[in-house]
Amino acid sequence: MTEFRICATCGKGQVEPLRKSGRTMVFRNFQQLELPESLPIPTCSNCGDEWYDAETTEAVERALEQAAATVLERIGNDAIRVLAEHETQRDLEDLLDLSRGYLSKVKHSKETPSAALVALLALLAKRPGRIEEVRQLWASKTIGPQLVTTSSNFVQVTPDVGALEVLR
Amino acid sequence: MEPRYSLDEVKAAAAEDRVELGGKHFMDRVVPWLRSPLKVRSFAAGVLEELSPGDFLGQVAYGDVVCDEYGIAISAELQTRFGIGGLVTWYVKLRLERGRGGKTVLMASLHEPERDFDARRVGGPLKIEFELRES
Repeated sequence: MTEFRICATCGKGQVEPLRKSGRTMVFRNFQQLELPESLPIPTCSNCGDEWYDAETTEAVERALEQAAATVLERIGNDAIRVLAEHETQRDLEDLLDLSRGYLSKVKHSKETPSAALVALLALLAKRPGRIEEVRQLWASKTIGPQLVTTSSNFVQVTPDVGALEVLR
Repeated sequence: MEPRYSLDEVKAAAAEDRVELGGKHFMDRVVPWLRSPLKVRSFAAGVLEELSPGDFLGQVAYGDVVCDEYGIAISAELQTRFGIGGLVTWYVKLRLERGRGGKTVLMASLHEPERDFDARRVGGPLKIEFELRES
């Protein structure tokens, strides 16, 4: 851990390990993840600047990885629970080319799902009707019509045949 | 004006991972580009490795603490390695401090330049080039 020393930013305060709440950082796909209050980060007693040596950086990375995994598992679990009302777990695994039993492992915190999978599961859970769209996607092997604009009373769709269809 | 700290000693300390990153919003300004503190650390080491005497801008003092300032155009290889093609010019502020395990680089700034690097003593003026390209 960092030795006590004078801060290279302000030249006044002493840099010492500090534990506190409310510290956040951008991490991978997350715009903000909270660091554990118990994690000491060398911090200037005067200006509050934080200093990351090798050991601190690794500890922060590990804490962020854990925080990210917790969020991914929680959202993944919520989505799987919703989707279970619309599709069997086995069919969903087949549809998304997941190995059999993978979603059970996620449910029981034995696997941390990727951010990409969690995003997909969450989007499907928000509109379970899209499960059928995924099925059609694999059947047709094309992405099909693209939703261009939406509002409460207006939807514009561009079919893949080229013409523009406007639905009101 | 000459650098306060020997660049050879800075590079030697960096090569042995004796680097501390900090300063005002240090992580806030770099992590959004690299998305991980470990990558920031690795990138900082890469920048220190590429620093040359010609990149020296000047010194800045905070009380008794003196830092050297550098303006660098990093290599295409370094940009590619970290997926930040187009983020070419970087401002660097550092000092060297003697600690228990030898000299340590205290890197107080590593971010987008706030002005063109007109003051480079040897390397000559350097225009800001800091816009992420689609890969």
